[in-house]
Amino acid sequence: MQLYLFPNVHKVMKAEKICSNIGIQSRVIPVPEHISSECGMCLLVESGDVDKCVELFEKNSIPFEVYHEG
Amino acid sequence: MYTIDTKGHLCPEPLIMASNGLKEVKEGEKVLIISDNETSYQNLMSFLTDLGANPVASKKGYEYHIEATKPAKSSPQAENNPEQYCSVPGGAAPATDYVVVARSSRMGEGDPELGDLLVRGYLNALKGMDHLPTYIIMYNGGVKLSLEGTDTALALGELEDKGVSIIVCGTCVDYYKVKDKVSVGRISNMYQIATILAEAGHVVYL
Repeated sequence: MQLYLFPNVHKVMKAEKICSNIGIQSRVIPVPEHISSECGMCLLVESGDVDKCVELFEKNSIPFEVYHEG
Repeated sequence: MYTIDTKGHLCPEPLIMASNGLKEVKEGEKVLIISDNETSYQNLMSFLTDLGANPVASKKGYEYHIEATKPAKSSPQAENNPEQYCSVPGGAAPATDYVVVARSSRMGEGDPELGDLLVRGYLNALKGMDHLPTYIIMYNGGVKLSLEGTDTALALGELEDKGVSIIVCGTCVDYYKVKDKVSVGRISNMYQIATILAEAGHVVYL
């Protein structure tokens, strides 16, 4: 499973829409406490063509970080 | 390093062993405390932190290794009563049962888009928690959280697998014409909802 972290909640919303528009379901989860103790949300992408999402994040200038979980 | 192996010992023994072990070393010297039990490990960490022993933990397979430093001046409150740190999950302070109510498809008031995001985050976080609600009730716009194709329905399904009863308001799914899209829980009526709310230890409204 891959977690995508963004610099702010607006970017999370934008990124979530981008994925959902191309049919990739992501789950919104609070950023795990071992990554950051700030109250933030991130996206968990369990399946689907994640590369396409990533490509669109880059195209739309949405900065992100990826964490591998589990 | 002076090593205190607490494997196989149950609370409060690991705490007493750690306390006695620290008496064997000099100020500033380190001890290694090994535990194989998560509750004991957490109790040890609380005890050593309060003692002023700056515990640093690492997990090695099934073992927790805690390095603690003998402080120049131990907190007498912690030092004299290591047993008080013996907490058993669900033991000392029994968690009360509670019911979560989703009154709308969002969490809180304010920006609707933010409310959508928050409720998704809440349900996805809730499934990983130890203290789960007995029921999650959805009424009015809240029923939308149970519809197929949403990550909230996935989270609710996982909560259901863990024993949480998911209740969806029948009048509401009828009103919104989404009855055939409800993918989780039991469609119920206001008598049942009223009974559950009346009997709940406490109710958490989203």
